[in-house]
Amino acid sequence: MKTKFLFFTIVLLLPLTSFCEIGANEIVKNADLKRGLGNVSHSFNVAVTDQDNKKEMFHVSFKDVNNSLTEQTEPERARGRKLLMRDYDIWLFTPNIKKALRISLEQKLTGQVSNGDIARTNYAEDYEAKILGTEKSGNTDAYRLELKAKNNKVTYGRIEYLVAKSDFSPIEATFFAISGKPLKKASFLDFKPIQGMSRSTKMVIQDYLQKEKVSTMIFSNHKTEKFSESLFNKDRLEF
Amino acid sequence: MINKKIPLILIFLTVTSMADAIAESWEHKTRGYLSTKLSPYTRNDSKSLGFLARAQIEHSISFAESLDTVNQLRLQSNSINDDLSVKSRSDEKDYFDLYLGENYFRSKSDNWVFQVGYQEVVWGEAFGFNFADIVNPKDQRQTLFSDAGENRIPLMLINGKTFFSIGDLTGSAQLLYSPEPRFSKNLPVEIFAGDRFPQESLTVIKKKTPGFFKTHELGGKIASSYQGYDIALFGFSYLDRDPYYLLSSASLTNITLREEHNRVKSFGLSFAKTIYDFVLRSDAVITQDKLINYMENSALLSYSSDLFNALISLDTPSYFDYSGVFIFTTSTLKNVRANSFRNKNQQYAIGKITRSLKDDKSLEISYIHELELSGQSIQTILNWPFDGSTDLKFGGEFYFGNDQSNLARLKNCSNVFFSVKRYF
Repeated sequence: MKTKFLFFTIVLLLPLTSFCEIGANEIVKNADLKRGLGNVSHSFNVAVTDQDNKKEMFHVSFKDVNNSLTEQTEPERARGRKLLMRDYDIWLFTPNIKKALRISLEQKLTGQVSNGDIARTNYAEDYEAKILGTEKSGNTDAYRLELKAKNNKVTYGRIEYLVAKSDFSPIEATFFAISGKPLKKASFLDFKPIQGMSRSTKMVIQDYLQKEKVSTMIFSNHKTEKFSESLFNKDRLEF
Repeated sequence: MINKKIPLILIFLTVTSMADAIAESWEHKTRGYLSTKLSPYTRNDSKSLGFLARAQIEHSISFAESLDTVNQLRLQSNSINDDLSVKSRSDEKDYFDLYLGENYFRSKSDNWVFQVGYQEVVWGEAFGFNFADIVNPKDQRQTLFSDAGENRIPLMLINGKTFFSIGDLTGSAQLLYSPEPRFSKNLPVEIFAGDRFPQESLTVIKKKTPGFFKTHELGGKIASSYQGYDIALFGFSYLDRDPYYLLSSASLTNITLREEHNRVKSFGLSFAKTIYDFVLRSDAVITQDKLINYMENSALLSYSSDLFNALISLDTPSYFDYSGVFIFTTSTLKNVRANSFRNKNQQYAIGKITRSLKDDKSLEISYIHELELSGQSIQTILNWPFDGSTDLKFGGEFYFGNDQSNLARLKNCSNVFFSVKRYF
């Protein structure tokens, strides 16, 4: 009798478990839409300021989750630097080297910001999500999610992600290396209406161990825009 | 020297100001930099202070989305030729060059780019030792650790490039034609010729650049990226950027050499691949019919040989703010004669560690080991971005080891340095 009871309990719980797993990935998909325009061809600007108020400006052309081009516009010494991302491949072009060099996603772009933080921001594409639980973040009920890298090509091995229950707004994320070492923490702030949806326009990234190391990314000027395929060809970066 | 260059400045200023006047609607951008480097020598008995100054002004005009032009004016003053000359030379002096840099028109569409004018074209995957960077001549009157990006001499080129995409594969095909070859500017010949010339003074007659359409250079490259691999194949038929020497005259006290450049053909392959967070790069180039000098019974002669250059490098990811690059290079002559001006094999192992510091500062330490002849070099640099437009560098570079090695031959330019570069 006990065995039958256990069997029926498991059978009844199975769909619930699978609902939770689907739910976790859906939550991440919805949260991604709160941090950008999603998988829509568009452009936007990013201003990155560090703890000493040093500012760097970037213009991002985002064709889809697998194709983006980031061009640095400030400061003067770095003007014309370009970062191209195609799938998990990434190339850096600098005006003095005059050729596109393959680099890794993990390499830092500036301050606490890795290349992948600007060029590859759709977590749903790169990570498998699991709900760890629910908790209060200030006055907000939130899901605590664990995102595990689907492959070892992505920027981080694991992310712990806090997302608002009510509207899936991202609140906070802690990023871990593939080795498991905590790297940095990010907060998602300043939600503003962009293209018909409330989206975060500010991301504050703090080094996990050296807390004084902070970079603030401000996203602005989101525009839907069509791009030619060749814009995302690494051999075109020099032109 | 300055007076001869004044027409260049006038052309540059006239073209840019005319452009300003004709169409205010065109989009203009002016940018550039000024830099200077002071380098007290640590092992040079005759000279104590090296000096290098550079400036570049670039004016670009965008006439329309598909048509633009770039005009650069460059200035360079360098004391290294004088500082490193061992023998008394008629051309021994600090040099001051004022010249037009890149100056070209560009037309482009979604699928192709076409450029005409003086340009720099860079091939290859590696940096530092860049064997595939064969198109432009270089100003090699620098120390080994100088900025390669500032040493290229623009070449008159008709440069067409088309882009393609087939599924996951993207790529490009490029064709180059130059009607006016140019040559590299090199350090004093006696540094590498050693003590082969007993005369006290040495004169080198430089080869002048052939006039327009007197000779032709032609080349091309096909490059592709597919599933994490970058592969390029390239070829170029050109006048050797480096000279071989003919004896012009000789006396007991003076020898006069004449530079010549023969036609060579280079074919090569470049490759890069990301492996986890490491990046593996490789360039391999075969240059056919290179002429190399040698001495036979006190006569200066030359022989032809194919030259194979190859490089493999690995960039590491950052660990606790440290990152590294490790490079192995090999350069081999197919044939070699006794008393040749270069060895059959030249191999170098290079390691560079970079430590990221606060406020975007970084500390770099590089070590080069010349394997066959035991030459060595160490360089340290503290990169200090002072503000958004100013870079400071402090460091030192030191050459030592076996006196016959290529690295130890540069020991007289071992130095500590301070440099400042201001962008505008």
